[in-house]
Amino acid sequence: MAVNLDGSKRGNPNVAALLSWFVPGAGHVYLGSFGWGLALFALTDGLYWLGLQLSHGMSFEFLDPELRTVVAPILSPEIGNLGGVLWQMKHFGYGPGFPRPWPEGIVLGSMLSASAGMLNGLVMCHAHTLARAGSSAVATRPVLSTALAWLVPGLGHFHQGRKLRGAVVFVLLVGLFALGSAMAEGSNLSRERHFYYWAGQFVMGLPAIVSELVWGGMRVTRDIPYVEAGLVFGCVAGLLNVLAMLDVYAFGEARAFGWPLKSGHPDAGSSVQSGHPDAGSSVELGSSAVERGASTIPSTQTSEQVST
Amino acid sequence: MNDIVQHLLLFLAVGVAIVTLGAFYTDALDQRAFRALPKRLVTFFGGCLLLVAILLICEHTFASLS
Repeated sequence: MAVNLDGSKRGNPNVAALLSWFVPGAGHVYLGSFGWGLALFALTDGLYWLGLQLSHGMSFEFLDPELRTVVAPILSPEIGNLGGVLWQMKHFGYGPGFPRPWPEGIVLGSMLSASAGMLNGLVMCHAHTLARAGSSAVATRPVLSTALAWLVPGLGHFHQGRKLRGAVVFVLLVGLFALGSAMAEGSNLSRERHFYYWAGQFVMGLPAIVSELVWGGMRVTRDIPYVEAGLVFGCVAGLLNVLAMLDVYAFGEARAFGWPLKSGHPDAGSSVQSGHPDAGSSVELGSSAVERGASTIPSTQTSEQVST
Repeated sequence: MNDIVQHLLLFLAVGVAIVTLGAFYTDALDQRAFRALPKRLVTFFGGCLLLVAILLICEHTFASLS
């Protein structure tokens, strides 16, 4: 597969990503991909709308009154869909100012609108990549791997053929999250109780979502000695998954564009051979091919073949 | 198991996860990332130990009631 980056540029990648942040799919429309734009808008904002319907727009009312500031939505996963958040704040805000019962679908609805925020982050990545690659086939693969990395930590690495790394990421992050949930005795699995910690651990994807759906409704009837440590562990696991997702995206992007792989080692770049399924794909790099990191290794090379 | 041992083990668990993910993020090649792990772990836990020592000295010097 040969991609000439200079020849196939469709528009400014930053503009495309920013447009998508405000209106999901707008970046794709800007790039001339109307089908993608429409489908992504329907999916992302449909998910957000469904979440608002189920939660009656009360997700941000989980916050105590003194915490209901402009910063709160910025620190929630919904911020990935800026247009959605602004719409929610305009129409629902923090509610009427007095306590009222939660609707039946508040937990699921809150998760759906948060998922729409995460999903739109991926839509922005896709728009940015599409603007540089020109072809949606090239742009989709790294973003799909990143989406899988969000859903299940380590799955994105598996999708890229980096099984050992995927297994280590899965064991470490899911283990950390499980340990945290055990220490907090499941009390961390509630957005109502721990709004900000919940936002961090939501980046764990399905492990956090499924755990909350199964164990999230438990009552706290006594002091939990290690609750703070448990909350921190759950949140750190989610935030570390951001790092894992960035690793997956950078790797996928390097492969798609034929860029060198990132390496922190000064002697990197020597004596390595191809091992990836799509290794050997030839990519013509234009001026946008950049050297990143202290030193680099050609993207068609893997650790398994590194000659030491 | 007493509290301090439990706390140290918990810190070890979260420290290993942080350092490993950091190593993975820095280096796209598994073998190089794993090879760099021992040094990174020593640096991380050594740095934490130094920080603890500084905090204890500060506490002893400036905050001790005795």
